[in-house]
Amino acid sequence: MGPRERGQPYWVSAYPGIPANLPPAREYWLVFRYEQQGIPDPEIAPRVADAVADLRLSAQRQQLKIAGIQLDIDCPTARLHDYARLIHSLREHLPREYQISITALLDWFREGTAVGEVIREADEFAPQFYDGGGRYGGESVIASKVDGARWGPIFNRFGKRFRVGISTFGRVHNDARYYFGDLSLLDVGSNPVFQVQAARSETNELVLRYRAVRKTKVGYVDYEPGTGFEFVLATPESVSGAVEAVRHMGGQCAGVLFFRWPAAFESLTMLPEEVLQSAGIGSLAAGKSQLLAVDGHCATVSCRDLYLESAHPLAPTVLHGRVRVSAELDYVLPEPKLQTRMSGPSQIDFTVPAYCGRGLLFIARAVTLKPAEYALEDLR
Amino acid sequence: MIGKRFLRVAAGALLVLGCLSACGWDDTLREYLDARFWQPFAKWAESFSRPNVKRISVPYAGMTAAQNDSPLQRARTAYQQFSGTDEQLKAAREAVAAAGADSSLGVKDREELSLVDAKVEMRAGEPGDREQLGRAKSKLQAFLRGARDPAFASEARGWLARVNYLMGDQAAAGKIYLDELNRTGSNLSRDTLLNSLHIVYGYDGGPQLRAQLDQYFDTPDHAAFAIEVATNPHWDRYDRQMGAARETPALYPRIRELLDGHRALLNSGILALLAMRTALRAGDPAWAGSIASEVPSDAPERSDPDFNWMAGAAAYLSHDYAAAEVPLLALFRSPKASRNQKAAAAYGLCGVYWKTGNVTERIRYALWLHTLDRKEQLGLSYAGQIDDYTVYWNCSGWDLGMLLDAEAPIETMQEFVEANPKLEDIRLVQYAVAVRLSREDRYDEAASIYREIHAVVRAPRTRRLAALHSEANRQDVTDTERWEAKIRLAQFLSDNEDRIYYNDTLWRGFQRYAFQASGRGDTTHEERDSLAARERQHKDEQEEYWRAHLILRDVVREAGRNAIGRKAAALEVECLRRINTDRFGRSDEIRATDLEISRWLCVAAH
Repeated sequence: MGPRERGQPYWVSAYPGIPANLPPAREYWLVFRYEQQGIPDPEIAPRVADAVADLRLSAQRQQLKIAGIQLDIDCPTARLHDYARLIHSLREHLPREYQISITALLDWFREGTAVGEVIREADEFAPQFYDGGGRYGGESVIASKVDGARWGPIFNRFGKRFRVGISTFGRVHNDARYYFGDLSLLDVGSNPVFQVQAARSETNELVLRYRAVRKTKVGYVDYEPGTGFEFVLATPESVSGAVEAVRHMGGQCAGVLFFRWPAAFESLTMLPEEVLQSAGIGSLAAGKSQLLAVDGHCATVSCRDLYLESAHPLAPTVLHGRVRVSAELDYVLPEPKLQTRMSGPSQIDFTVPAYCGRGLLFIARAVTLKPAEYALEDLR
Repeated sequence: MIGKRFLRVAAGALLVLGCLSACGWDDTLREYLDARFWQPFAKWAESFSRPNVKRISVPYAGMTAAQNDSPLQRARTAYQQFSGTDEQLKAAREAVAAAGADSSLGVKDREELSLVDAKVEMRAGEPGDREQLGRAKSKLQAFLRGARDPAFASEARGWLARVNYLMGDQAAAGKIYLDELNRTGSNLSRDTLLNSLHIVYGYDGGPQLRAQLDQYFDTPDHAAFAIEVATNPHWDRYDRQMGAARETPALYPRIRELLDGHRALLNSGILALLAMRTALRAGDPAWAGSIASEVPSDAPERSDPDFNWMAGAAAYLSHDYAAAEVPLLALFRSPKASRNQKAAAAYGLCGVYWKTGNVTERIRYALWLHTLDRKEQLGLSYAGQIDDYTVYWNCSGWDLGMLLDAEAPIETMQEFVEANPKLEDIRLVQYAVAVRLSREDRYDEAASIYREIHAVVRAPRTRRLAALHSEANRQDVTDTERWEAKIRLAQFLSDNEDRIYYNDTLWRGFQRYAFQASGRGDTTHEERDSLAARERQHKDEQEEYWRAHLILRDVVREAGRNAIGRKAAALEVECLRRINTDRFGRSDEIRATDLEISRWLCVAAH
């Protein structure tokens, strides 16, 4: 959603309708995010309702249970009264069975605000313990400390269901505080010109500072000695600490809401499995790295794209891996950043630089003349 | 079949490049090496529409224009004015009730009123409102049990399908639409039904179709529709998060089970086609090939475009390339085949001949595809999702480009021209022969061809080059005279970058992106090495500055440190520095040579 100006749409969908391949879940929420400061025009309510109607039909076709919509609007604290009215108006336009959830900034909960009015109009709220100073505010860290003993009573006094928003994503910026959307840890970590220093924030996020020791290039940009990047990353400890604190909130607390689901091949956001494992949920093969050999769809040879899902995504040391192949390799097309090489007729070696193991790492395309099996022999 | 694999049409690029090409930006090459190219043809609702179905077109119930003021007319008006408010609903219901009490209504009027009544209830229901929609459904079903008027009955079936759809019952809705599509006397237009089927099923029917497959095995048409749509091919990029949900591996064994269990329902030909399709989608070409081989040689399915495509695909994917030729040729020549299916066959044949080494036939089918694209501008008709178009159109033209510019021996091309002088676009091959002859320094022959095909710019230029080359290679002159002639030859080459050895009819300005033999990983090691070597040779042969450098290098070596040597060296450095190494490669070698000659020039100057 955005402020409507002449000729501009009310919102832009992240997806054209409901994505066809959602992961299985008991229920789904349709999220509408307002990208601007302030709150949207009240006239947006019927427009949102139209969009919801389309999505509802699409969900029915896919047999998905939609619980309701979640509004992700960083409303200024002073305008909460208007926000409450907007939610009220929206409800009149939505299907009766749809609930309304809202994300909530921590600042709203200080004394003397109209947060109560807003929460009264909603079915649940999700106080977000991240980006307390704004999304790209002055501080590098992302997560805010979750103090269950302090926040539990505050949230519970509204008598409404709430889930606590916990960050599982990361960010990277350079010295000019330019934030990159497409820079991976491997882009920097595999460049020997950069030296890294690691530190932990109060909430146990990992802060990695990379400094160039001589002039180098990343993408098309030159970096002088002494300049570099700062990565901030959620960690299993930052997630488990937050989840543990939420457990002490009790009352109306219905759980946590992890933000966010990683895009394909994203390297700064925790994979869902890692998040669940950190939260003490799920029956994962803990501590075991996985090799994914994805069909490359070659018609006349057998080709597989090999990916690593590391059990040590933030290992502070270099990890060496080896893939064993059940047939003789014809050749491999290696990923240079992992120094991949064919170290034997049926063997591929690679190296994961320190801290660079998060996400799905492409190792190589392996080509054999006959179909073959691939196994990760070790990673240490 | 597969999709236009890496077709990347960018609107902006299209605007810029519109004058250069019929297609948008397309960087595909040797797509037959991608298994997805060989998937079965995609099926849409149109694929199931029979030709020449006679339909009627009469106004729907309640939609006739007002003629008099009667209770029925008031009911019609109330229905027409109903846009969803509670007040209008109340008014429409009351008007229908009032008209129903009119004892003067005839049978047909009463039938119309009954259908209007059901339609009012339907329009009062929102998607998912099972109670209200259920009321409408009951009324429509009751109406259909007693309907006599075929137009009203047809309309009612259409609305019943819609109600089923709004209630989330895809199978019930889709089967009605499908039946109506091919029903003689239907009052629903073909377009309406195709649109409805598209809305209900989208591209592949989604999870609901996969879950309800068995419900379609009540008629052969329903079963074939369901299996074909559910097995529509996809062009999926790997996505770790979505990987598990993307395709249901259990789908194909289940379809196989259903087909086995309903042998009595489907005739053996249809059964074979569905089983082949399923086998190919399941990644089991050997199974598909085995089914194809069991179809009797005189069976009508043997002439079915789908059969021949799938038989060819099964053979190719089983690495029996020669065996793929016969069914693909049959498809290409079939009068039943559509333009797109012929295009698929032609490109598939290019793949067969690439593997079997039949260059002549590769030229034939690559050229046919070029002509098709030139005439019909296939790339410009591309729009929407990749899945919407599952035929590869060879828009880049790179396969033909590589073939004529580097892969085909000159003699084979010459023989092809001789054997096919009247073939459309044969000039392209003739022009390519001339360019290739130029690269071999056979300028007289090249110039003759250029003149013959009225290449009015290249012909005189090449003639001039022939003279220069002849001068530079005379043995009856002094060394100095020969070196001077060589320098003039090199200077001429250097003044004509991209105008002698580069084939400007083939690449639409994007040749550099076609050099990707080492980047794809879809060939054998030997093929890859061979492609890489050929690409290197091709780059060397067609770069005028590089060719000039080689001539001048010899002059410098032979002449030594004198005025001619220095002149040649100076020009050589100039040529080397003008080479675009991003495109050409050899950057280290060129830099080193530049340094070496520059140093030599410094020393020579003193």
